[in-house]
Amino acid sequence: MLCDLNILFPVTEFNEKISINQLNELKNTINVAEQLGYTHIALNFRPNLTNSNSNSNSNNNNNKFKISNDLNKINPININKDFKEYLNRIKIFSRITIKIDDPSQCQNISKFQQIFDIVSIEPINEKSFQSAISNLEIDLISFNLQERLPCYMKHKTLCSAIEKGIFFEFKYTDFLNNKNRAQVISNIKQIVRASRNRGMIISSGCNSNKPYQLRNFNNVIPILKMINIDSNRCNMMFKDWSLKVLLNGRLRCKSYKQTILISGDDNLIDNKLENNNWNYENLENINNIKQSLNSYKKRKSDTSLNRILKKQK
Amino acid sequence: MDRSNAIEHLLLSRCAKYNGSGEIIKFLEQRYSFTGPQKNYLVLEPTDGGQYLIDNQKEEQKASANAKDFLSVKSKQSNASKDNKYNGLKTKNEFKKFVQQSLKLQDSVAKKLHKLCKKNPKILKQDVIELKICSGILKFEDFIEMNNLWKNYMKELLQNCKTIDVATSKLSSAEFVGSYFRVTHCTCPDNIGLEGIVLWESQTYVLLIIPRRNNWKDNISSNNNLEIPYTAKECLGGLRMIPKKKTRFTFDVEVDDEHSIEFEFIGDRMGIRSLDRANKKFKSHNVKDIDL
Amino acid sequence: MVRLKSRYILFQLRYPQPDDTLTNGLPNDIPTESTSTLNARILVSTLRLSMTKNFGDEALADTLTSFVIKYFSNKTSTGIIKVHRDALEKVLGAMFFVQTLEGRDVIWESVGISGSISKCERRAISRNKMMIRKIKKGNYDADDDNKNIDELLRSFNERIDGEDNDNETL
Repeated sequence: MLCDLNILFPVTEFNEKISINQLNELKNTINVAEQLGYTHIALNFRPNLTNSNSNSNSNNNNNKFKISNDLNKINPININKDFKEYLNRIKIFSRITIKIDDPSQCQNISKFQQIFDIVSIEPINEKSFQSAISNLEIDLISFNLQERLPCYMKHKTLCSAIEKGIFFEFKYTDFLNNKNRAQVISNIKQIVRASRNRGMIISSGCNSNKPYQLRNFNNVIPILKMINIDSNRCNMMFKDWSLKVLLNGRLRCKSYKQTILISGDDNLIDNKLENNNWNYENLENINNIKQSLNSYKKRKSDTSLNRILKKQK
Repeated sequence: MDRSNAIEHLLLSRCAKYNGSGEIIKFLEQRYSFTGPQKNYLVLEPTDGGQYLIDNQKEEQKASANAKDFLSVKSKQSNASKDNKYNGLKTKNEFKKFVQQSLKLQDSVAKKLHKLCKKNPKILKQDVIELKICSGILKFEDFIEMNNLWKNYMKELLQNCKTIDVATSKLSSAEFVGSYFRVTHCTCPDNIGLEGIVLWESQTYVLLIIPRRNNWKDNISSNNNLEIPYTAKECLGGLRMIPKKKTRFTFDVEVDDEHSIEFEFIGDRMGIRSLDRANKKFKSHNVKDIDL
Repeated sequence: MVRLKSRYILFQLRYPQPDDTLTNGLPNDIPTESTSTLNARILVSTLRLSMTKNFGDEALADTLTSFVIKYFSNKTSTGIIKVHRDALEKVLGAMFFVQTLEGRDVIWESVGISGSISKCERRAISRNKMMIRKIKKGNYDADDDNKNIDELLRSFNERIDGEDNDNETL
């Protein structure tokens, strides 16, 4: 089970719809990923929320307002409709990455938690990094590794995040750019040191119109080994730990605080039965169509209880 | 009379009944003399107890004999205090003992059946509960009514639930005694595939009662025309004690006559008594202990 | 004297096009053909260039001895390369950094690593067989481009026979 939790979704606005051209490109990229042996893929939606200008703050508020209206219209990734043909071939999940420079924006995030399978955060300064670790229920933290990290990475902060189950993400496409490669490597080394070789995942971070930037996992491992990550951990970064991220996110959607969860599909992270059709006409009057129980209905199975009851009759 | 009885004298002097102090003194002397007209004595003398004592002793002997049966030597010493947690009269302890006894009985009967099976291999093909040695074993059929009660309870509980989060949050504080559980993941491979009605749910384990000759082997043999023989223990059924740790259960909730919805119970995160669970505020934790 | 230890890498080149309509109808795992001008010498020189660029002269030195492309097929774009054991990881890393080949975008995917060449060959053959099985299966499912797939099938079969012959000659 190879995971790639970061294939960029071409849309960057909440209300925008994906065009046919973009969709074809994306499908092509997914095909390539499938050929390279990946089994779980997350489409990463990066909304344009924050700009450093104060003028855009009003824009943000507008966006917030739109978000609160109808949960069914937030997610542009329509897995049931657009990616039907991949149903039995490759598992596709949705992910959102939000840039945060101000801890006050964090209230927004609770809304995304049940709409997207994975919620990740890209903190821009130290304050938001700290608040993201301590206050938010998120799965992933990713940095812009091509620039300097927002703060010095301390053992304490990173380990508390890992203790909570938050993972850190590296993108291997950063290596392919000749620009700032040294900065990328030094940043990764810092995170590896501070997290004590735990709690990291690697993903492609590949643009949907650049499928040639995807790589086989056999080829990525030597690169990671150069940064002093041992081969077992390299494997874990692709497989086990990435699945843990997915599991964390999926359990948030499927269960109540990881106690009782809805099942009926193959395993804990499966989304086969889930209703991901966001453009569905809202007949059921449900705030969030993904949470609808109707799609999980199935015919009663023949349990031994029923057999015994029949015998008695 | 050497006592002056000043206070009584003063009180009686206020009273209209007595005219002079002479009368009062006379009255008081009568009152405190040994041979006055108003003296009433009730003399209580110790007796040997008669019939009552004998009955009492008999009862005590009976109780102590019972207690000897019930309890180990240690608990007998502290029998006096009722709050003692080893007290055999407590319902919890009695239940515990009952469970232990029936588990023991099951084991011994299963061993006997296994031995019998070597002599007479056909013995396991029939319904073993009709044999004489199996008379003390709990039957699955007696508990089906519990499951019906639970189904009605679920119908009431999930009446207006349309979304996953509402339904699961209600279920997380619900009672599971009477539901029909299937073990899907467990560290002990023997437990995987067990199905049965929940008799009791404690902090660390779930007590299931499982039917006889009815488990995953049935499904396989019906699909592939294969015959997988049941072991003696599976033929016997009865109680199974399944730890919650590292175990996941699934159960079905009926929506209407035709359809049902399947839910899953994560044992690692439900390690809490059902009483306390009703008011518990759950939190998400690190998922490193949950396997796929 | 210690024997010279070497490793054989089975690799495959993939040429994903930005707007690809070919792969839509077919199931998956269909390698795109390389151009006929591509040969072993170009591949070796590209790898060496990538080695010097990313790991420096020391890494290049490892590739000067016992660095041979044993087999390369332009049709399936698969090949086997022999490297010195110590240089293995660096060569894999160099493959990671190759992005263009003869002006086409490329994914240089390493499929398997083995100590003996026969294992690599067997792996290549079994991969091709798997691919054919998948195409056949897809043919029954899709039923749209029968002609195309038949042609493809024929070419694959020929190729496998050819590979077997090639392997004997190695």
